[in-house]
Amino acid sequence: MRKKRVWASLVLALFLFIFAFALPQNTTNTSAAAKTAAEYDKDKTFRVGMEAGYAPFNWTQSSSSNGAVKIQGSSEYANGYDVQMAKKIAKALGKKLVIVKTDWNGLPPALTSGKIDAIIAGMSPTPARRKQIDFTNTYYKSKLCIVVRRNGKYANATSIQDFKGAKLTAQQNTFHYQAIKQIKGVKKQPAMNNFAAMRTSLQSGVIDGYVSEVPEGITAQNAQSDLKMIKFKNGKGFKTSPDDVDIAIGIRKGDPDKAKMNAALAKVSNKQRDKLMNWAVEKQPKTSSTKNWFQQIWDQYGNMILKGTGLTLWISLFGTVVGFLIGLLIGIVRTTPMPDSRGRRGVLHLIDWLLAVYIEIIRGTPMIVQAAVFYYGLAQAFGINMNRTVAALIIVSFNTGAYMAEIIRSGIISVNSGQFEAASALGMTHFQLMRKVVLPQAIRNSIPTITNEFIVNIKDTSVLSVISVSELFFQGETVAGQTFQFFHTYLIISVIYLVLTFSISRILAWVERRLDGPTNYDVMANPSTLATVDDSTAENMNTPTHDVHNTKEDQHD
Amino acid sequence: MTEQLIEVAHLKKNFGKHEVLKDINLTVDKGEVLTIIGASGSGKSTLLRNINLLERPTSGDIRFHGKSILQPHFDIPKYRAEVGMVFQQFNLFSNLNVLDNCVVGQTTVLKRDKAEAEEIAKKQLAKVGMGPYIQAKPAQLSGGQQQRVAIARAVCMDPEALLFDEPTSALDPEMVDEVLDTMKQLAKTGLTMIVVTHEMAFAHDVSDQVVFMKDGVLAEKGTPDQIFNHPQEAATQHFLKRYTQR
Ligand SMILES: Nc1ncnc2c1ncn2[C@@H]1O[C@H](COP(=O)(O)OP(=O)(O)OP(=O)(O)O)[C@@H](O)[C@H]1O
Ligand SMILES: [Mg+2]
Repeated sequence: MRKKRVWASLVLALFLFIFAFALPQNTTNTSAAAKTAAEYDKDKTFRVGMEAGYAPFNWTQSSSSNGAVKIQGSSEYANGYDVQMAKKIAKALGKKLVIVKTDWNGLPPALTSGKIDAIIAGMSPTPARRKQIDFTNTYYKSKLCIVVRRNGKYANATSIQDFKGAKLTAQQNTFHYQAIKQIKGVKKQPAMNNFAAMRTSLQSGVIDGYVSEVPEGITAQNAQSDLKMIKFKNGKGFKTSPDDVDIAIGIRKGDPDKAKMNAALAKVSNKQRDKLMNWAVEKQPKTSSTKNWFQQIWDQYGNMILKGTGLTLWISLFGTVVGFLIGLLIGIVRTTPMPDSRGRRGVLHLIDWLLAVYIEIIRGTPMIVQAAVFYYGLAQAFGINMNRTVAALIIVSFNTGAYMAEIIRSGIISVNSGQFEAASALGMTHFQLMRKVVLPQAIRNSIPTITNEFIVNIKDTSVLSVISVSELFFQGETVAGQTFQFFHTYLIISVIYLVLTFSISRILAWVERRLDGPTNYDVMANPSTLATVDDSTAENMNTPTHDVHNTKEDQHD
Repeated sequence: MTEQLIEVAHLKKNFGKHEVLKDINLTVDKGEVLTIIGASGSGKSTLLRNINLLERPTSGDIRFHGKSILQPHFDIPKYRAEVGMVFQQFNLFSNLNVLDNCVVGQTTVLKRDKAEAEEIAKKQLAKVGMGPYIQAKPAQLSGGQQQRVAIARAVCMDPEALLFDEPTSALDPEMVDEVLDTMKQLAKTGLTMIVVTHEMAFAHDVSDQVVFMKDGVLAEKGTPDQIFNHPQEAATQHFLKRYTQR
């Protein structure tokens, strides 16, 4: 067993090694990706990736008002500066615009793997990004600012150097975060994933400010009266490179449409750009304060949250059931006694070893990594484009399968060996005795652990946001990002998670009791049998009783 | 003319370096009741388990109807259906009720249809006095009741021979008789039986042949009268003295 483990880990290492080398190759020459891009050209669609949660550049809304565009695979709409720009580009290209809602960190892999055709998401063409992807000319020029508390210590700052000793942060993987270094004596905080989180941290005093760009700063200031944006005069602010403050459209290297896009962008004057940005700041979702916080969130986003709940439940239910079946199959195979024939023994050893490798790989890597490798990896390495929900179902099923295999196996091992022996002594084959005798007991004994696995799945589907599956947590992120009600949104989300997991543990506890059957039996249950029984018992049980006495007497003689 | 049913020839069984069975030779005729007695650890269970192929012999041969059961491609499930086994710990299937315990082997191994199997099972359960309990789960029964069900379960398969490994050793004294009585009834039907037991009275009354086992060899064989009343070997005498003094 130990030896097997070692081998499995070696194979895992090898597997990751190969993958690590296979991927960069494909990102640099993008042959596979370019091919899929060509295919999509035929479709005449222009698929644009964005967070749809970075107002005023892009946001999610529930109606098509103000020229919003439907988000792919969802009943919601995207709008904002980016969306309006994307419409202009799509028109110039003569294609139909499709908005693909994608996590910020998922945007570059989605582009290189061919899942989207362009990133229009307030993204700057940094040198690091340029290594992976190409950019068009600028479509907006922004400026860095710092958002602080209106009544705080730094509210009257005029230079970035006034922020000595301040706790500052910025969004992960942005140049905003890099820029914090320019302030002497600043207390740089860990980067955060989204603006909603930063605003909440700022309001609660965890940080003193965050570095952002002017449009976002205006938005924050408008949406929340206790926040204030600090702009800096030339020479007092951050030194920025055009690579950073310029905002451009991310495209695949060698995209034939680049010139057409640049031509379309050139037609939009700076004045028009400023006008469009003002419009976006004006039109972005606002928080009204007449209702209580719950009603506010629920009226506007209740549907979104419910759909997310449904998807979470569906993915984890499906994953648990299929994972259970996978585990059952593996459990049976891995407890098969070794056959006598040498050839068959070899095959069984090989299968057993492969299954051990599968289990080690799945259990040894986080599901978030599995999801990213599977979804983006398949697309990047082989050009396979998969529906997100399908990918999620596959990932959760196989992930659960590995854990279930061990649960079922230990369930089987815990069944008394006498049960196996009695069943084989009746002439049952391994499969028969498993099905009729051992598995029912193993499964019964495993129900508490299986329940646990189901509950873990409900919660762990949240990591699927990395491939932008709109499950409960992903929806929560979006809502929080738009309402800026970080705490309240997640409070609602956690109550929903709790209701789901609690109901599941109740339901399975009930199933467990049902399987055990009644605690007492009814001797008179079947009168028709009792009739026959009475006759035969009478003649059969009486005679031996006499014999017993005889035997004992014989013995004493 | 008696027919030889089971024949054990030069049987050896090692567990690692530990030689548990050393050159066992034995024949059991059809309809015969053979009792194996002997001290704990002498290899009685191991011998039965080899005959049923729950253990694989190290060397030697076991023949059933004159055919070796150790040859390649021998149909082991079919053989096991024909030579049943009753265990010291009963080993009833704890997920099934009494009736299903007796039905499951018939439907899966013998491919009988469910109605027929149930009818047979009810008949056999009635014979062992367990008719009223067909709905009960094994855990809800006393040891003696469980062992009677286990016997009915084995008999439902219409076996040619039944192996009993100390069927009463795990029972409280007051339940021993009900099980022994059931076994006596079976012996009367002409079923071939190999019984490992410490119940000397039963061995004396019911057996056609008794063997005394010591340290993996058959130290003495004979009729019940020869073994119990005129034992030749010192070891047999010593062993019996301990049991009859009780
Ligand atoms: N699977 C096994 N592996 C190793 N040794 C074993 C195994 N099964 C039995 N033995 C050994 O074989 C010897 C004979 O055991 P066996 O169970 O056949 O004795 P027994 O005569 O049935 O004793 P008892 O009356 O206590 O049931 C013992 O020394 C035991 O330790
Ligand atoms: Mg024994």
